[in-house]
Amino acid sequence: MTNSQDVTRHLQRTVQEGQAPSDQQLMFDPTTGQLVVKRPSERAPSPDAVVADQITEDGFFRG
Amino acid sequence: MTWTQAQQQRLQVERQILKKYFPSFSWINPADSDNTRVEGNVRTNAGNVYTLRVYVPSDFPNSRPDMVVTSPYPLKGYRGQDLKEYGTSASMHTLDPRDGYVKICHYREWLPNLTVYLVVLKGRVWLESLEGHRRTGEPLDHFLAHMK
Repeated sequence: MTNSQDVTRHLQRTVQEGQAPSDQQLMFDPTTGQLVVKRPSERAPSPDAVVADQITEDGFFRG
Repeated sequence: MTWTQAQQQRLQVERQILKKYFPSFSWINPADSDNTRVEGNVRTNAGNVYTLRVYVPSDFPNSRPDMVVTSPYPLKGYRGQDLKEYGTSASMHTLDPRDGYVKICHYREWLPNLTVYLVVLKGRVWLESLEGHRRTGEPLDHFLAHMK
């Protein structure tokens, strides 16, 4: 299980580096509803888990 | 107003996708195209539960759905500040409230191939960033980039 601070640290790095960190992957696991930070070589937390890095790389509307 | 046949087919697909990834979400007034909403709870990794609401516009999928946080109310940020007070804020990725609720920025230019599921997933990530803001006081754009 990934704690919230690991997730926000990953998000912060994505902002700072202008892209998702190459040594980490952010996934959303629909079986738990949790966000998971893992190494790219590690197994996904579940078969239905989806990579969420594209969303964070694309960014959010400025408002 | 009712949905056109093409819209009904599209919404059926939207339902299937959303059910797979966010099974706790419900469709409210699904037959009324002027008042269709999608609502459900999400639990952040910090363990806090929030309710997201997506307003499905009557011309969906041709225009952008609004997304708000309806619970907890009021939605509080760092040191208990009511996030509604930010109104439209680039640094907090918020827009002027809708129905009194904090409205979340997600996609700038809406395209018909984008889905309600993707909007909710963005809401889920936004809420995790809110947890970071509440812990550190940093604005949300510290955790979420701006769309280019």
